[in-house]
Amino acid sequence: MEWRRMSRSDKRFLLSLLPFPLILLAILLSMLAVFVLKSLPILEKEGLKVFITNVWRASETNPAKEEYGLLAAIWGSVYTGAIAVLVGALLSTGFAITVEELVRGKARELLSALMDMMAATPTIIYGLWGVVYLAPFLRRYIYLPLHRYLGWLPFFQEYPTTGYTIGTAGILLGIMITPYAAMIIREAYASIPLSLREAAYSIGTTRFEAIRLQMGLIKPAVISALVLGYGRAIGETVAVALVVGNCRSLTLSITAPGITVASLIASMFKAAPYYHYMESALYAGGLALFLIGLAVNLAGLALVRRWEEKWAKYM
Amino acid sequence: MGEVHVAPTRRLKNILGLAAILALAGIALLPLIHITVTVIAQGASTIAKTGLLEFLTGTPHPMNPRNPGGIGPAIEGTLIILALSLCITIPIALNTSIFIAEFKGTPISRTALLLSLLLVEFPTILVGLYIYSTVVEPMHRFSLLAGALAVSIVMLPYMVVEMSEALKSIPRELREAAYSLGASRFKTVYRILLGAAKRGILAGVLLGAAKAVGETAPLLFTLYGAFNTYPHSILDPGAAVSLLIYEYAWQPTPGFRELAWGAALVLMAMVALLIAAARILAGRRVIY
Repeated sequence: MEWRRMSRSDKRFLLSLLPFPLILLAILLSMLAVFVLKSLPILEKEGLKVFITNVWRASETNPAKEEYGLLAAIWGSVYTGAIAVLVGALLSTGFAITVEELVRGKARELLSALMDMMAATPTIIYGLWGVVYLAPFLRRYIYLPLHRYLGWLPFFQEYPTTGYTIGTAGILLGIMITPYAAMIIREAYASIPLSLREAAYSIGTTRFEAIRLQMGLIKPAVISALVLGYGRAIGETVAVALVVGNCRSLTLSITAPGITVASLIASMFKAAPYYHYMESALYAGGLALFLIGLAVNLAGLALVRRWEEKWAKYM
Repeated sequence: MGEVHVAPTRRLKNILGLAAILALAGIALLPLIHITVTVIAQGASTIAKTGLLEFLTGTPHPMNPRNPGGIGPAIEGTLIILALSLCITIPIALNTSIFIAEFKGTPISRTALLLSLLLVEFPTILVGLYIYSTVVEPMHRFSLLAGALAVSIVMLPYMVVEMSEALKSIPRELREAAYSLGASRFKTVYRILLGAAKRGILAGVLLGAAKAVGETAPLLFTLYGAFNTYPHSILDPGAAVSLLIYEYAWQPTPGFRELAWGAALVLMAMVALLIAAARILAGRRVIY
């Protein structure tokens, strides 16, 4: 609809509604402004060093001695997110194919209802379960054997003193993004035209070969689901804060405790006002998370859009 | 139908491949089933220890091994935050989605939809920090109001996406019929279209409510976590069920964990009810 071709009452209608969508824009822009302004002190003091060093020196008495570096937290967010996507990719494709292709009737409905409910389950419930059950389980049955037999690999080098590690956070996040990613993959899988499926079987493919062909068709949808899942994973706070161990280590080892930007903010922010620069350093972490999250989610949405446009041609 | 000859290697690959898919699905389901079962079992055992009424209305005393008490203030906090944030978001979300649906194709409409989709996936802890610096700091106090504002920002985009979807799905003929009767655009939208889309819109409200009830991170630096006392006004520090689970999950004393499990069951029940109602109203699966 063009502005010039609108009637006067339509124009009035548009203008009277205009403030509402602008609220969304105002929220996003003012949020960006707050994070930039609040991280200025630390950026003036340390420059970009705050993002690429790994120190955390707080001092109540002498602000000049304070020094903060977020590298371990940024690394932790990126790394736990990557583990989550790896776990989520395997679990969600396995689940989506099973429900769409291998089970029928009541079982299918039941599985689908369970997944829908778990997609809506608050993340704090996953967190509570992770603290009480997942962390001890992983330490005993996965990390200890891996460390014992494959300890020479950098991934399992650290002795798992507790179950609260980078790996636990990544796996818990993977479990959490599975219902969401599975939902998107299932929708794409169900939208494959019957004719393509029949064409596959008509040339004599086995069931598994037909599934592989179809997964190839919807690969862009799977990738966009995982990108959006990655965005969710790096932004998650409470579930990660409970299981990640909260230790500023810069390591590849999944058996070592770590920290993420969101969990660093969650655990440090209440004490931050006692120091001169700590609050600003945490806002700088927030700013990094803001920009990474925005980039990842924009990429995910762009992928979804491109896939929908491409797919529309087949329908 | 005759059996088609399939080479043994392909047959083997087929069997192994299908087995791998089923195994992955099994691994995906196990934790989800375990979570559901433990929340129900552990939660029910806590609530049975205290008694349902006392658990829902009493105050926590986690150091008492025989009866850890209830989570009344947290439930009240969650309900107050829910009510406040619905009051804030419903008018904004409704009018924003009317704009998106009515002027679809225009740059503003597309931008508004994109912004909502982006905000849906936004790290919620950042919203908490934002409200801390713009509301809590200037007012010099943590409050239920600040918590509600943070939750509002989180749920607003969900409602906009769902409601604009509902409004866009109304058949064109309905609008044309209204115009042909001489109704103005304003009247057509608010009397006819909203009426026709009311189930979808209500589903959007319920989905937003489910989000509001479950969020924890936006409340970390806005509410303070007053789990033991009932608030007197919305400007008092408050508590919420989700925040209570977070704070109590850290504690090694069994009483805290028991209360956290009971709270988890209450929270899961609330969310499940809201989601189920939204699904029935929308008449389809809802993307969360």
